[in-house]
Amino acid sequence: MPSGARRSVSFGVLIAWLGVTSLGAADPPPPNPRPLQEGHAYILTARLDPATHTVEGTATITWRNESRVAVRELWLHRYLEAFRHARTVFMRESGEQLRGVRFRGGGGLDVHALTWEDVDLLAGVDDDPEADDRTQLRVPLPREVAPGEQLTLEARFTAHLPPVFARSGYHGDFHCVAQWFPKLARLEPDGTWATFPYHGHGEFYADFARYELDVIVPSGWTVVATGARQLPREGEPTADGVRHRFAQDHVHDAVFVAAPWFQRLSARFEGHGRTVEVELVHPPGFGHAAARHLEVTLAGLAHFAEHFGPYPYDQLTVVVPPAGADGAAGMEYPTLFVTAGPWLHVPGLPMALLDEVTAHELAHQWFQGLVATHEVRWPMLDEGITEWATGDLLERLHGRRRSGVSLLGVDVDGFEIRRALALRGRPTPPPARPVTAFKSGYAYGRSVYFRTSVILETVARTWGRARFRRALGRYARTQRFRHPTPDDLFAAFDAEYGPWMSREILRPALFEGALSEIFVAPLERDGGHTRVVAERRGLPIPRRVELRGPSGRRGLEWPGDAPRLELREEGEWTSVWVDPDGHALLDADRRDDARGARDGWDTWVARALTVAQALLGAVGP
Amino acid sequence: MSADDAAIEPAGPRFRRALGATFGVHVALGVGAYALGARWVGALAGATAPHPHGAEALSQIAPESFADLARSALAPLTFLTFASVLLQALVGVLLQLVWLGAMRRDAAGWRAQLRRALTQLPRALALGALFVLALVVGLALLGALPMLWHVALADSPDARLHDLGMLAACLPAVAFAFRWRAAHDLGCAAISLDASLREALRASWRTPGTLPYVGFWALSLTLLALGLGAAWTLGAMAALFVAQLAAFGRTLVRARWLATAQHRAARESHSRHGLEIWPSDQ
Repeated sequence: MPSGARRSVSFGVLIAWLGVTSLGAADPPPPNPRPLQEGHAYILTARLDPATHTVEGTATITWRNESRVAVRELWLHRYLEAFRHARTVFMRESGEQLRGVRFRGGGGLDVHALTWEDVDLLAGVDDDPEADDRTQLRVPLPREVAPGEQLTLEARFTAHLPPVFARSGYHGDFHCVAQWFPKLARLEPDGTWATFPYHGHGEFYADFARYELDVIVPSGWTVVATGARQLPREGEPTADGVRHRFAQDHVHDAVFVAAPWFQRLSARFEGHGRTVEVELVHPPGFGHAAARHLEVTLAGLAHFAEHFGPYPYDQLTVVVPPAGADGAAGMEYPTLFVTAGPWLHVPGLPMALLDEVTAHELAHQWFQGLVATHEVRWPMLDEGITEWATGDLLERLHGRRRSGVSLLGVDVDGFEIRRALALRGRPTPPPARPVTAFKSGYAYGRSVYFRTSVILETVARTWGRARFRRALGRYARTQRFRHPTPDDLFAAFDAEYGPWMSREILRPALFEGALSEIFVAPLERDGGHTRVVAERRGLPIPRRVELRGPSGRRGLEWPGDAPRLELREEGEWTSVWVDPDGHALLDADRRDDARGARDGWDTWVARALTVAQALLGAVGP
Repeated sequence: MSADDAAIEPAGPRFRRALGATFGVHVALGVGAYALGARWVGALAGATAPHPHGAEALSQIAPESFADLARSALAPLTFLTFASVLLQALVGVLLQLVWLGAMRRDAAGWRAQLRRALTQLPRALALGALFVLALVVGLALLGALPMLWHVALADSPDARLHDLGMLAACLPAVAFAFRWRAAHDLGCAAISLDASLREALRASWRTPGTLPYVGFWALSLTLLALGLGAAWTLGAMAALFVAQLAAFGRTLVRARWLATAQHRAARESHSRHGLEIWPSDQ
């Protein structure tokens, strides 16, 4: 499809969605109407040189001291320095790879000038507060900045993009320019700087601000970026290229992505009182897959807006990276995200996994983009909640049974996969820890992403999804444009369920790693009765119990306050199954949740025989 | 049609004559498949234990079940499967000769056919070895095409162009593989008529047969797909019935192709290249 072409997208899913999700949204609190931080702004200019893969830039940074104390220093982050060499904190923590992509060097951010009121600030900076890591700059100020006082910094810099790695860099003509300018750390209300080096698994924590971005690229290139376009799509010719301009209020970062061959899809989302222009750019050949990404994005905008408050910006941009640029894939930024996936899309094939990245990065627009938690200190509030929201959207799109895998007659619930990843094998640490407390990316992913999402889904399934969405929606709405902590999350849940929810379920599960495991003893029969004994270890999660026998099935409730279940039921029951609906996911092994006589294997015998016959026939005489 | 041509029996009677042997092959494949399939299902049932409703609960307990399956049963199951396939491939040559022998005009009882097949087996194995060599050389040469395409498009952003081009570049290798398989069957068919190794080689490469082979192969594949589809959509007994019908249909199609191959090998060798009609086919 030629660049700039517009493709209509099927809104069937979206319409069905809006109809269904209007149920159960009883009196959500209104979203926090405006950010706390006014007076913060970044005016950025960038000139991309595709030959050298560098960006010459300037920044005018306006900042206001919103703490209660005067400050004598500033902290700036220049995270491209993480890719300068293999000894940086990022590289040490990540083992010089991220998601299987190896570090190939070549990144950096040279700050040539930094002034305040014409005073050169560079002379006194400490640019190496962590050994071998220059991703932070401590900038002593010539005088104190009082509470409420505003200052304006001027900076000039060169960003050196690496071969694409950890979301930043280039692959051929594709340039994903992220973490590319010197950016202020966030000053906490008590006057301490929430500063940290660029870690392998967490980077975001910054003030909401207005961002204005001027990008100059070669003629014929397409640029997408954080914010709404301020110039015609084709840009404005300059002496050395074409200028594109973007601006956005109330965001906490800005990126741009450029390539000469991008093709474009677009759609308009209207709903929940908002109109959002959705633009998707993709490499040639990805048209069908891109249409699916757009479809998921539109459905997700409706779903998340319904439960977590409307998407507040006018523009959302989705980037499909080319093959080979995996390092840029699967990353969220305010009003823009980079998705992932193959070019091949078979319409009608229910493959939830192919929608996962788009669903996840879109969910980040709320849980990170709007509810701007400290990702390094509380990654579970960012990635964990987002992972739950991802699974929730995939359940709505594909149905619970098919929300993970649906292939050759085997359907697997997506949250069952997350449960297995979180709880099987080596024990995972509790999710409520800082990024630096996890020994590996694997442990971090299993705990922060999967364990958190499984904890949340257990609550949703056990006590009702609509109620859960109201609780999480309360958190998302009241904390919009703020920087909440776990206490704010617990307050929202306690308001919905009562104080027992955080005390007995969420805190023990998130902070202490508590599970709720079931063990069912073999059935015993005596004189026409069947005796059932089961134990629950850990969290007091109620479950349904189902007895099965020749005469049918009988359902019973096992309340959460009883750690042991003992039944003596009349009749010859052949099996008992605790939690047959699969609500309580915090059980590392659910095979011992049932006991009794085996059944249901004849279908698998027929399948196995057929497959084996086909296999042997293929190599036979 | 010359008098000699008329003396060469067409494929139809050969196919009908061997119907009993064809059913025997189907039964042999079915027994082998049942033994293999039972082991697979047994391992899966073991991995889901003690859950009594493992099949029904698979969507819930699949992660831990498959993890256990991978840890404890994957290696023996893989070995067993490969061993079965290898055994099938080894016995398959002899079985194919017996099967083809049942298509000859002078087909005798199965014991006599087995004795004759055993005398033909060394030639068939030698033929197979030469064919494996040809396959390796041919695929190595044709495999360079997709590699060249990959290198040429290494920097292209269009993954679809790259992937579809790779697929297209693989087509000559696929065509070669079909030709190879058809030629091998034709060579075996010639050996089943007591041709020498040299005669069999000549018959295999000079006899056109790729297109009919592809036709029969596609029909087999359709039948197998039908069986697999039934197994994944119908209830156990209905699935078993349809799958067995489909599998037997596939074996019949294979028999029809082998009869065609035997007829073609005999006819082409005789009429085009002036070979004597093999005594077994007179």
